[in-house]
Amino acid sequence: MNADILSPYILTLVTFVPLAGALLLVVLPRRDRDIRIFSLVISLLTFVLSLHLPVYFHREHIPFHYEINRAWISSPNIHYHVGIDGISLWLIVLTTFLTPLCVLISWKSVQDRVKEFFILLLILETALIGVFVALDLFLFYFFWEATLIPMALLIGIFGHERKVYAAVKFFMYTMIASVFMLAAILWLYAHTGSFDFVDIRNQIRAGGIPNFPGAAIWLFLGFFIAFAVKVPLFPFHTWLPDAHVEAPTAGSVLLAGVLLKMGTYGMLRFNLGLFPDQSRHNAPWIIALALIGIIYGALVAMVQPNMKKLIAYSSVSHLGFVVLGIFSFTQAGLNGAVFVMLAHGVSTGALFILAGILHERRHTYEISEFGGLASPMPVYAASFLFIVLASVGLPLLNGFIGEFLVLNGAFEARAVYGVLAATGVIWSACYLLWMYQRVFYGKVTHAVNNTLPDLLGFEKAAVWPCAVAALVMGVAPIIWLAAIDPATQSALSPIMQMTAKVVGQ
Amino acid sequence: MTGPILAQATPQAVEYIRILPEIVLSLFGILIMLLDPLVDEQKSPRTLGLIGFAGTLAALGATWYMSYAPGLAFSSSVRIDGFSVFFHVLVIAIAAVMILSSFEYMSVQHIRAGEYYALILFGAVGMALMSSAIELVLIFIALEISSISTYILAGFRRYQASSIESSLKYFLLGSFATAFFLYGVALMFGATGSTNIDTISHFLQNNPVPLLVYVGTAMMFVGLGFKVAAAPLHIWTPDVYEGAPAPVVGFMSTAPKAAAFAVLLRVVFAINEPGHFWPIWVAAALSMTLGNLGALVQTNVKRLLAYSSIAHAGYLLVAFAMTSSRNSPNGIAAAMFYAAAYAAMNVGAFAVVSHFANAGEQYVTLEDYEGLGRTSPLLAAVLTIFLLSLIGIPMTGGFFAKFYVFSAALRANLIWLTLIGLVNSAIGAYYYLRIIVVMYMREPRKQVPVTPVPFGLGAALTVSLVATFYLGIFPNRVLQYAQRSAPDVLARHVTASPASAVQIPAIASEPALKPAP
Amino acid sequence: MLVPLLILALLSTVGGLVGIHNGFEHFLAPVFGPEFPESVTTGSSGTEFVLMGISLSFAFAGAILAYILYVSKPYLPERIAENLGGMYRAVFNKYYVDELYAKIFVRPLITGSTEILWQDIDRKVIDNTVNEAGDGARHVSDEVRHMQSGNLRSYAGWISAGAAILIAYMVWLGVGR
Repeated sequence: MNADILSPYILTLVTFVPLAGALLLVVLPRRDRDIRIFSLVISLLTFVLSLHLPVYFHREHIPFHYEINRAWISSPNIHYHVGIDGISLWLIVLTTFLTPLCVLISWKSVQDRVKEFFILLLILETALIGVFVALDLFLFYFFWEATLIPMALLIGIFGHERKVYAAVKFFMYTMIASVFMLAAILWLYAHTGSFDFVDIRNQIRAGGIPNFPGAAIWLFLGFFIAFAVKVPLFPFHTWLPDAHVEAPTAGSVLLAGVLLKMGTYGMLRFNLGLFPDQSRHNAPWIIALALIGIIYGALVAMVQPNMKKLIAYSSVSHLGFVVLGIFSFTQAGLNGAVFVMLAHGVSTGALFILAGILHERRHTYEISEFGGLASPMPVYAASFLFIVLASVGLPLLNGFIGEFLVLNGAFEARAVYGVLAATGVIWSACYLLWMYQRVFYGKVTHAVNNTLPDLLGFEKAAVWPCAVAALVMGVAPIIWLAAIDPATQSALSPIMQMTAKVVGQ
Repeated sequence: MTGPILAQATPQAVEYIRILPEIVLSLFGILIMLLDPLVDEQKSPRTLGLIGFAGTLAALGATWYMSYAPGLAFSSSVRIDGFSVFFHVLVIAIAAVMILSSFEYMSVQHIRAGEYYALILFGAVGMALMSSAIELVLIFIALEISSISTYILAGFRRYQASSIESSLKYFLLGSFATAFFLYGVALMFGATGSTNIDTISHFLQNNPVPLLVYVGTAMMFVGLGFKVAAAPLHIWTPDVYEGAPAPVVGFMSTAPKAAAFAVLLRVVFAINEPGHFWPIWVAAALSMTLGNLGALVQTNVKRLLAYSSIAHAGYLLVAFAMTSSRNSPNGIAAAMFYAAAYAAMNVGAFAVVSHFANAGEQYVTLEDYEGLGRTSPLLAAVLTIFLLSLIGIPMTGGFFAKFYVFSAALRANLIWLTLIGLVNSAIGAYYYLRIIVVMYMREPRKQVPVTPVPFGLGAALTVSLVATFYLGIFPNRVLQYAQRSAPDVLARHVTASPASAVQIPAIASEPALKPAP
Repeated sequence: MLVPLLILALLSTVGGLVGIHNGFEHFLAPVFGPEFPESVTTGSSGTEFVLMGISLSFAFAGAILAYILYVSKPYLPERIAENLGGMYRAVFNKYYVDELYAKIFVRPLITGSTEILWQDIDRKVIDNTVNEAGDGARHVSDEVRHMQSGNLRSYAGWISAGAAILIAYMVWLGVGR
């Protein structure tokens, strides 16, 4: 039986299976072990379903594959319109890949209110996938907001000392920013009568919208501010360190691995897709912010005493690369940007998992509390090193591919961009390797660290898939780039058609 | 000679049908009053409450029956159209839910129940009549009926000073504001020679607008604005909501507001004299801002919800700021939808609050709500859903309500107002979030007794919850109904010269009064 | 340690030997074909052997010196170190390159990042702006709260004021027409 028959419904399945699982969890009795196993099964099932997407990815369905378009509400004109292209395809797989790992890593660390935890986790997964498949602006906004509540609750209930401050900051900061996106969406609806992304894009290209030229810059900024806070782009990044430090491990993994990518995905899909002109004109200062983010994020990461905060700032730095790649308006840059999104998701997700493993043993993230851990925990140290090297961008691992492509694109746009961004690679080696040295090498400085157990079974199951993924992505990136490239090409084509030179105009 | 006039003045059977819900409600109210001294004090909450609830159900049935007989009644003082049926259903449904949630409340607070249910029903009579009356004096009468019931209901916790204080404040300030309304009606009469909305609007379409009309509408705004708690007439809301019994606040914050908004819709859009744009714009922006800012530091949940209702009145008022005839139906439909969605979530929220408050309404501060996520998980979850709806999270009725209002505003090019509204929405999320945070993310510092949920309250919460979700996931039906009914409110041409009961024929036959220079 | 070194030494010797007179290149020549010219060798084969001899003698000299310093006369290294003093210390400390690096690059970078970037900009400027915004809203809210004095007459006053402004505005509108 050809699994291709699932294709017309596959997106609905992939999106809503986690939600169905969450609803079932509501009625399941409170037996913690069963709840954990059930959540794992659901998340693995979603992952397997999502693998259908790349396998049956028919190249000829352009621009969006597996499209489902059904009228939902007639007034206003909202459709259940979902579809993916090469960019969103792998982001979805990333999400479904990370979620079972989150379930695994929370196996022992969440002992209180286990049921609520996994319900929230599964609802979050549905919302995240929904963001990437939505092609109707209303649906997109709906899923976008829907990620806020489970994430805020996960941080606020299951987090560490300052969890409430971090959760409220996260929620308010991102919500206020996304309100401007809502205003832009409403304006577009009021003037085009449709929420459909493809429809609106065509109308904009045809120039058939009244008042558009005057409003375009504000619409662009409205979308942009919501995404910029999410990425996070300097200087809107300060919610991230707090949110990460206080969040439970699973929350951090999904936050860094997927939530941040919502912002960059939005920039790529909506800012570039709907407002290519404005993207061009505003590229210089956006690139400047991205470059500042790369260098600033790395430098501040270097001096963090808290391991999780360090990784948080490293996310700021890495996602600066993504934004740089997107606004370089080059094929290499865009491909690199998408690839960095995926690579960062895997490697930083793994970093947070590893940090969480350490926290489980010593209940602290302070680097000074550790030292010489390579002796008592050799397997852990080796896994950590592997992931650190992937994050640094060592060739043969996934980080290198993405950064190289982005630098290529940045250099094409303007040499100085490439030069500045390239220093980011150096800084990332600095802070990561220095952190690694302080934590693992040398003598064991605190006696208590001597008796720490090495990786347990479920922890290995959580970390090693990431390592394998990092390696495969590094040696055979064509598996991913094959689908990404045509998608970025079609995203780029309207901009290439403009005759003005890329940036500095 | 008197024959035709008499024949015209004698109501026909169908006209009684057009006020059938009001008749039914009054009958049940009277029944309760009569039975009250006869029923045993211990059981009276239950019995009388059930009679009251049955009354509301009967009234809903009567409304359904009435909807098949649209048209004018009682010398064109009452008009049944889609618009009035909508608000009838809304007001009576709110009364029904409120009665359900009061069963337990009455016994916990040791309140002798009889008049309570009768007053709710009488209040509902007034509010329902407000939405179908098109005769300004009749509107005033209905307004007073509804107001007086709520004045008394506000003071129902007789042994608490705060309750008496809130009732007295409400009464004094409410009468003050209603006086403005009446004066405005008088001025309108002086200017146009009629108190019938249709006649007035017809007059204003065909004649230059006299100065008195401007002043008259301003005064009517004051009176109605007070009722809906729009800035700058919102001052009474926090104090009154804090003192009144929680279920009554749930009623007061939704039903009379909906009825007053119905009247406001008729006055603004049917009379439609120009110039109402900026006052409404300012009132909307001010309400949103003052309401949200005032709520940020509140620790008393009832007061917080009071400020929140001021803010929501602001959001609703945005729908009134559309002036052109192309945009008005959108605005009207959006306002109707907002009234319904707001009613659903607010009634539910106050029902939960009244349950948590316990005897003497001791537990109404944020500190008392700590840890409720753990001790009463189901109730806390239900309250969270209502709070999320008030914030405007998608999938809840509150989201679509704001959505319709703001997209109608954007279509009418009210960019700044929309931006103010949206930013306010986001800022306002904070204080709702605080309640959620306190319930789930803090450990309780006090021992708050947790009682099981009684049947009535459970039924009330279920209805509100279902309504909130229904309006959030399938808003289509209700919205389309609202859009179909919206044109009923707009200025229309009067077909036959109305023999309005209060119109003196001599003046009516004179040409229109000369406009003031 | 000895065995790996022995193997490496053997292989190195073999590698050196095959290179004499471009032996290895002739061996590989068929692979590259006639397009690749043979490497240009200037000088005669005699030069090659002379150069080989010089480098080998340096190697043997070093070996002999090491034998003297560390095996036959072990007191020599210390005396040489004392006599050479500063120069010795410089070489021992790798010309102080590490310390220079630390002073010029590492310390400023770390201090700069910690003090300026993290504490000043990130914490004080950016984070505080966000927190100030929240606090600011709260202060305004506090002020607004005081409008609710509880005094009935002041409430009536507010209502009258609002009504007065509204009526005045409408009158102004009406008169203007």
